[in-house]
Amino acid sequence: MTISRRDFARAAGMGLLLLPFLGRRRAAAAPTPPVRRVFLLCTMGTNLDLWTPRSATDIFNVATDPLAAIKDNLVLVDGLMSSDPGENHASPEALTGKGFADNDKISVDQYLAQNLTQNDAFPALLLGAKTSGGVRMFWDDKKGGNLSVIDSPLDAYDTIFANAAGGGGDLVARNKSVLDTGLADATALSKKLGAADRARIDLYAQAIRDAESKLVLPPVTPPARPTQDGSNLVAADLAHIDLAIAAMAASLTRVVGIQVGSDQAIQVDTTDINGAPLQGDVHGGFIHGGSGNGYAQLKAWEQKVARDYFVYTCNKLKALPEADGNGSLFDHTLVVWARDMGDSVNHNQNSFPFVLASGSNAYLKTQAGGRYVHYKSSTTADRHERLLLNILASMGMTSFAGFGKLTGGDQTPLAEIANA
Amino acid sequence: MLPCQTQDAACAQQFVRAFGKRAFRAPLTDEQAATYDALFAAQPDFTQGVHMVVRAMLVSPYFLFRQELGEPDPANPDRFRLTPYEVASNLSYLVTGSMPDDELMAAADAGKLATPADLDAQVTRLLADQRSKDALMHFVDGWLGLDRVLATVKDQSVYGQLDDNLRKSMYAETRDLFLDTFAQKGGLADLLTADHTFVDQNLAGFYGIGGSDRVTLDPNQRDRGILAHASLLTAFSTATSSSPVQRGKLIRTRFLCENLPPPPGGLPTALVPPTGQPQTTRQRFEAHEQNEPCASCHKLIDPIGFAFEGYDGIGRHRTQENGMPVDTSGVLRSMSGGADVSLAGLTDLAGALAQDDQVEQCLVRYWSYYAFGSISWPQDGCTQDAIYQDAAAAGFSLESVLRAIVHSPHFTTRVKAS
Repeated sequence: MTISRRDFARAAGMGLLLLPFLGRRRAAAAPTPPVRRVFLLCTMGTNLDLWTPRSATDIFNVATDPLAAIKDNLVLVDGLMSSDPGENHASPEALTGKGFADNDKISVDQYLAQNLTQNDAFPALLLGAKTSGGVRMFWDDKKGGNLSVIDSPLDAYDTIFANAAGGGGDLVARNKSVLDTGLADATALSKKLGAADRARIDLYAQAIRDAESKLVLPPVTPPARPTQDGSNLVAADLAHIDLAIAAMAASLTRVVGIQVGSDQAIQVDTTDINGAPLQGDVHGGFIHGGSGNGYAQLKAWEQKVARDYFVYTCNKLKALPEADGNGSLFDHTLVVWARDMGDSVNHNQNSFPFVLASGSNAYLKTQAGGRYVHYKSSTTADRHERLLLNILASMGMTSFAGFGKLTGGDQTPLAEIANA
Repeated sequence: MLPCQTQDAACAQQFVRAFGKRAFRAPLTDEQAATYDALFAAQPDFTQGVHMVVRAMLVSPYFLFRQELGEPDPANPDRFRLTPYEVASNLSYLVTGSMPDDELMAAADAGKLATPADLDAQVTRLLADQRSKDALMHFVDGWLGLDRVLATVKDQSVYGQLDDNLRKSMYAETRDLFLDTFAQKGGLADLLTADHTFVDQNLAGFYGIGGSDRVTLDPNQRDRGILAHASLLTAFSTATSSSPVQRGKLIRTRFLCENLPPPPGGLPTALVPPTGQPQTTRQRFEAHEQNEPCASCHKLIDPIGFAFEGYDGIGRHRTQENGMPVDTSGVLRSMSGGADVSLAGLTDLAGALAQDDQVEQCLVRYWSYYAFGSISWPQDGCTQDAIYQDAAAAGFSLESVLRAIVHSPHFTTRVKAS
């Protein structure tokens, strides 16, 4: 028998019948929008008595109270255990998911730099004053292990901005030549097509032209040259934060790591958030905290980092509009406060606390008043490495081959952190 | 990725042509090769050259669009023959959902994709590729909306038993039956009336039947065939109840290719509020047939859906609802002047559909659209007719439909636009 048109719907109706295929294609093309940048603030572990939320409804504590200034953008996470919980400070675990004895350790910043941002002027920008003499949290075993950072803000300024116009200009030129080639192919192809297909290629060509129009980098107006060398840790770190954000705003980098001190010393000469002097090696409070001067010093230092480093970074990103006019830099940046240890008083990797913040992008699951997510720190499902995968996933990565120690179905980001 | 070890101009040209052939799924024309050679040569070093050529090729419309430009057919001035590489792409994306592999490209190079026998040999080979299973299910997901089971929203206070693992087990049952029926040269009628199914322990427990993997169904436990799969029953229900409307519409649109217009604008479509007295789902939906203008369409939909009422909103078998017996009788009313078919339940519906040529024709129509992406009747009526005839001659197995699509003239030729 033959198929008669009468047996089926009229042509207009078939459009509705066949929508299932069209709908599937649309649905498949709408993944969760990633953030564009990651800003890592790296400090030593803390005394969890100061950090652990007071209650389910009051998610802050003495060390984190200043974070309430940006509570609607915050997610506090704790209870995550590393794969080598017995290791202590200087362990590579914090940002690599691997312990001292493991091979091919690579931290999230370098993994992003090698797999996602390799064509940026600075695939990963690592800064931090007075970190020598100890270990930093950035690793790549293929580059010799523990990585150095730029110490002096003056050096950082010269590295980032002295050749910025040239570096950025080259990047624009390279991207433009890629798009120009696509446009030339479209022009050649279009000549061979009928009207309907030509309309499709016209849409493609328009998309290419739109992309080209956005290639023009915002003029890299270098910020004022810093007055700080690296001799004052806090003043230099704050200058580093300014430079890093300026580099992000100029599209020179999408991945920043700020190392605050090292695992051996955080020698400060500054004031606490109330203006009182805060001087000396505050890292003693981390290791020997729990009582006495170390405890008070730690409390003051944690509050200082929360307000003057973390909240400052978020607010500065919030104040800068995206070059394409789509919200602020904060809307498209995941800001992470990461630690080198979990429970630092007991010197172990049992309960990593993380502070995450971002603006109104679709990745981080926030709520009014702040979110607190607690894990039980005892199973692979609560491995802190999975939060590192969240950092990678926030930039749109879905495959994590070669990162960390988890494999198969265990190698997945924590579902509670991200929007579905 | 590099076809050579030396980082010189000769190696660069080899790379451009080798990678270009893979990315564009056809050898580069001289013009294309010159464009990408020039791009490579403009880079400061070999590594940058590779990076830039890869980036540019992956942005090119030759990579992003599948081409069906063809070449004039000397024997027939009104037709264009698709090139062997275009045929290779059509074949590969249809059967494996991905770009041609090396063997298929070699067949295109050698002109070994010119006859139905050539194409059949490649179909046989590609069906052995594990990716073909996902490609087949991609079609089934679109045709039946099967993957709705994985994400459709359910009220947990009503259906707390339905977790993500159970949803996956439900999907797997239908996937396994479809793929097994396909592999066993079965047809659409076999899918509709299969006396067996495939359950894991999770789903076997949910169904309350013994065994796991391939099990023969006792008709006293569940109706046989794909329509009684929890996947479709869950996918085509509301968040809190079964849905005679969604299930009836499934049959009308996906199995019979009959168009149902949307409700007139501004028409209240909410069911009458519950009376406070216990009601069955059927009793609530029967209001549709008692009121115009609802009745004009719903008499074509709901009486089919009533045959599914032996299963709740997540596919649990039931004989009672709210303390009252469930009535699974229904009617499959003809929309083309034929006789109506009375249904005692889901087995009757499956049996009626299994004997209806229109259901086979509908499958041809969906699968053709999936393969060709066109819904224009003037162009595709003849193509679909040819596919139907070809598949029918081969017993109308599922595989025969796929092969008939590949055999059809439209798979390798295009008619010149008038």
